[in-house]
Amino acid sequence: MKNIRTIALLCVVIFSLVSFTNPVESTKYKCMIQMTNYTGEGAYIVISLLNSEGDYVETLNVIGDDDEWYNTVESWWDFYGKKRNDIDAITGATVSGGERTINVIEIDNDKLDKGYKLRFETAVEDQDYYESDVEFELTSETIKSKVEGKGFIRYIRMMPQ
Amino acid sequence: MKTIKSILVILFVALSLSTFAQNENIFLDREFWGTQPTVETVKQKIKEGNNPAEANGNNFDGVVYATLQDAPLETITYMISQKGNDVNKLTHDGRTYAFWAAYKGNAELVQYLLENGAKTNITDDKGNSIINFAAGSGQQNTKVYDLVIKYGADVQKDLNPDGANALLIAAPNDPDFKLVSYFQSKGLDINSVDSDGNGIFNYVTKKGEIESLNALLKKGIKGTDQAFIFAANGARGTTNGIEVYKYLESVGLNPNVTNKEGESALHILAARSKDLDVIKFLLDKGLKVSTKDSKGNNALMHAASSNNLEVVNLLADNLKNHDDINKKGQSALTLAVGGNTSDVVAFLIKKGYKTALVDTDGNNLTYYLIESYSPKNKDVFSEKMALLKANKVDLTQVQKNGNTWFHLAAEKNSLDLLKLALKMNQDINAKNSEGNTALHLAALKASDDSVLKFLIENGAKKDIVTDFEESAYDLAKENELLKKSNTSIEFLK
Repeated sequence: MKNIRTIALLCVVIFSLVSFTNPVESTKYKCMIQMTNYTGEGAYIVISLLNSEGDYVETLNVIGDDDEWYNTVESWWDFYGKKRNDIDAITGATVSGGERTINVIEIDNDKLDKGYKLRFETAVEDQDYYESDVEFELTSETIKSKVEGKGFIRYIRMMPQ
Repeated sequence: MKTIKSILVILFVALSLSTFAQNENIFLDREFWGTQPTVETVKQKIKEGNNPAEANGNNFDGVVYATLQDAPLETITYMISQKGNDVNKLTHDGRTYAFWAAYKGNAELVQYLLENGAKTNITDDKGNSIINFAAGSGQQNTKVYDLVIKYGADVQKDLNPDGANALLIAAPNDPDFKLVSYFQSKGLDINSVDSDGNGIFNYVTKKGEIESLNALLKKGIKGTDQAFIFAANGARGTTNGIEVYKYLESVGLNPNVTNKEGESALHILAARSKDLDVIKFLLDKGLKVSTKDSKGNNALMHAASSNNLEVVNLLADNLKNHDDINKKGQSALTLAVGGNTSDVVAFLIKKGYKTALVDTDGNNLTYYLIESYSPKNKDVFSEKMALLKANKVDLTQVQKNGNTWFHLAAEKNSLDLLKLALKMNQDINAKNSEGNTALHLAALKASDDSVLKFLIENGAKKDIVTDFEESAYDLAKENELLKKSNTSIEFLK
């Protein structure tokens, strides 16, 4: 009897520990962005998580590290620029025409199949700005697919790491 | 014989004329617009094959040049009505025509654009609204501001990315404070500050007009220590001399101050000023060469990237520790190799800067050398390469991410660099850490087949695939530049 009690107690303790350290599981995804062969300066690209209403929830990755140009990524800047929280994922240089960049982004598992969206926003100096160069709903299917871009991005490919 | 000759001559003339017409769009020639061409002239030039909507490499088009050269209103509006142009078309720095019209103080054109649907709620790539862009140049014709406000602009809300309103932005180029008074009449406060707390005194310091600064002091408007940062940044076409710095000190301000990027006036001037007196002044006042900004760069690093040997020398003499690196793992030498001339590189090596340094991405000095290559500075490149070689840099070493000379040369689309790569004893078929060979990178970026063919002739294999199972042929097939130039890529199959 005493044994069972100890085991039960141990179970509770272990369970609470596990659930405490791991409240929401997340998965890392490899994300390849392939640019079109446009001419001109490198593009600033911001990957954001949006909720079903289209509001920004989280900045997953910023490609381009000179913050002087961040305001050209207009809609994201309206969200981020006011708060200027530190972003964990800033990837070095901008990406130019024809190039591709492979980044790892981390998404909480509970954001899948719930109407959340992934947005790839692009801006190039002296040229256009695309609020949703690539945008798609996050589902267990799209998270491992290839999606065409409308602007500077030719397509993006995602795959679980 | 004679006929053949004349035919040849005619052919030659016709050919050169046609290439002339192709390359030189008359509408992109500022001087053409300076001749005040009529609508009839423009019509004629369009007939002759000049494209009224084409833009040059800096994204200026005919309408912008016509506006900047004050061409007749009806000529400009005729140009705007041409296919490919539009009142909201984006040009240089992301500006619509309304920006340029307002900048020139051309109220009639501004009115035409606004009546025809030009947006007033947009900002350019630098984050300036139409009014802030025009005000920043000191445009004194306030009618253009009246118009843009009438069509919806809100000077209270339209702030640039620094949080400055039109009054602050106008102030440096407004010697008589006429614009400042105008914007006061539109409800802006003379005591406005930007998001870092800088007011009009600091803004006027950009231009270093001591009379204007005194006028402000008389009104009881003072500056802050940040004025030194504004003095160092200067304004377009203005670098401030020692007298401005001494003046700021005389009115009780202290140059020992940094902006939100952690840069002091010394960092800023180290990067671009050739004025040794000002730099010495700041050193005398206790600013240290060793102080790092938020990116981890000290003043010498700023100078090493692009300034001349004299400035680099002065700063190096005032720095004891020559091991400093910034947050990217770059030393002053790294930055000099990547962006400066060989005399600066040689000087820093002599000062004891290590040539074996690797940055946080695992790139060594060879990477920076290759990055610095441009067809315009071949000699500087060769000199720097010889210096590195003579100072024990192993040019043949592969970068940590697996990039070889072939990869870096293919990315830069440079045959010159590829020819050098052949001498480096590296594997032409090596994959980098992203799974790409040099041929893959070339297929992604090439605008013609020269680089691709060169790689294949020298042993690059066509059948290697990327981590996404793509061959070089697959990648080249998607390359819009190759498509546009009708380059056959069948040889990649």
